[in-house]
Amino acid sequence: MTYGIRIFRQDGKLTYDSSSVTWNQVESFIVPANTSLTKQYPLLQNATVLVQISLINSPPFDQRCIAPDAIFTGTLLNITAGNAAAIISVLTQ
Amino acid sequence: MSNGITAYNYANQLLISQDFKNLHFWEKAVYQSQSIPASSFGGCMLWTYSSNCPQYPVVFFSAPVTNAYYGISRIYGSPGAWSIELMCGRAGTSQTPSDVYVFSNPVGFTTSQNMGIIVYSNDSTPSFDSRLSPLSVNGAQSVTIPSVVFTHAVSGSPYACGGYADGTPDQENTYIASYLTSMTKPILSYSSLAQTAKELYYTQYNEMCNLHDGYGGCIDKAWTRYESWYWYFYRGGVKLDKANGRLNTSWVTANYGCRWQETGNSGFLGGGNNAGGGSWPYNNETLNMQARTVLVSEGSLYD
Repeated sequence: MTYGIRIFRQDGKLTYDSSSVTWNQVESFIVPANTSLTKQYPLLQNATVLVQISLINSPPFDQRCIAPDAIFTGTLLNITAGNAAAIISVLTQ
Repeated sequence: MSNGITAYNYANQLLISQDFKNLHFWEKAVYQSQSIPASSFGGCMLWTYSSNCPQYPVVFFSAPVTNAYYGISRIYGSPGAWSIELMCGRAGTSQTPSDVYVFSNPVGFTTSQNMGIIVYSNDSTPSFDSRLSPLSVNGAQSVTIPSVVFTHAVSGSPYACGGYADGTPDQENTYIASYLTSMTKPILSYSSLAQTAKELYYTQYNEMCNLHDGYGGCIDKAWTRYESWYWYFYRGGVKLDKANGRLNTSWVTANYGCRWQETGNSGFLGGGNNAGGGSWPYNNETLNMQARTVLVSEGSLYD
């Protein structure tokens, strides 16, 4: 490595260098069941965005369980309602 | 920029920023219990873990059983008291729970180490702390679950759910991730959202004559219709194939059952004969099939 940064922990273990890759957390929140929402993230213009969705309740076996869906366009996060609540984590790199 | 620092990696991807929060390793979640909602057709185990992570968690898990499919079934609770449910299918006789790694932004974290770099956001909360273990990611793969669950022949029976209707999934999607072969302990972040219900219907209609008219006709017919509905409920999972550098997705049998019914009429001299049993199927339906991203990290950094 001839340029860039290296960050070590106190025990000498390398934490990051300039070849490391990570995903940063923009925000995490809960979307209740049957709820749509939109959120603006001006800082994410031209950024790569990943939205993780995790169910809060187990899908029942005897009825539909539609997870919310997330579409990120420009700086706008659009959450489409499902009938299941979920944890949303917006990540970027 | 009025405060903080921003660092990019060689690929011009964001590494550290005062505007966003790096994910840091909080702990390995504490294994609590196991349940087995489906023991046949590949089977399904659910492992529950707890974590006192003070923020919303981003969860990774190890995949210790070769050929098993995993997924985060659900995460519930609140900051400081989370429960994490991990699903595992087609693990055979192995019941080795995964290690579950909990990451989150570093607000509320503490450490006894006193050397390093801390980056603060403009609200004075930390966004990066080198003394903690920030998340490094080795790969990110967009995946989908196969549209078909299985293609093998199934031998169900119309008679009271007899026969053996093998609903074991046999289809998978494969994604090349060659970097996996050089990793020590890949850990995955993948939430299981896709689900599908498959229903197989078998019927048989039998008719017999109680009373002939002497001319080859029948003046008193008896009939019986036998019906069986085999049903299976599946959820999406991901398999780690470290040796061959691949990630595979398939279905995990989360539940199954069968409903049978017998209806008929014994003819003039008899009456209706009806019987049934078992559980009704869920409607045939496939949901939440959008592509999802599997994140891969090196678990040995956090062991």
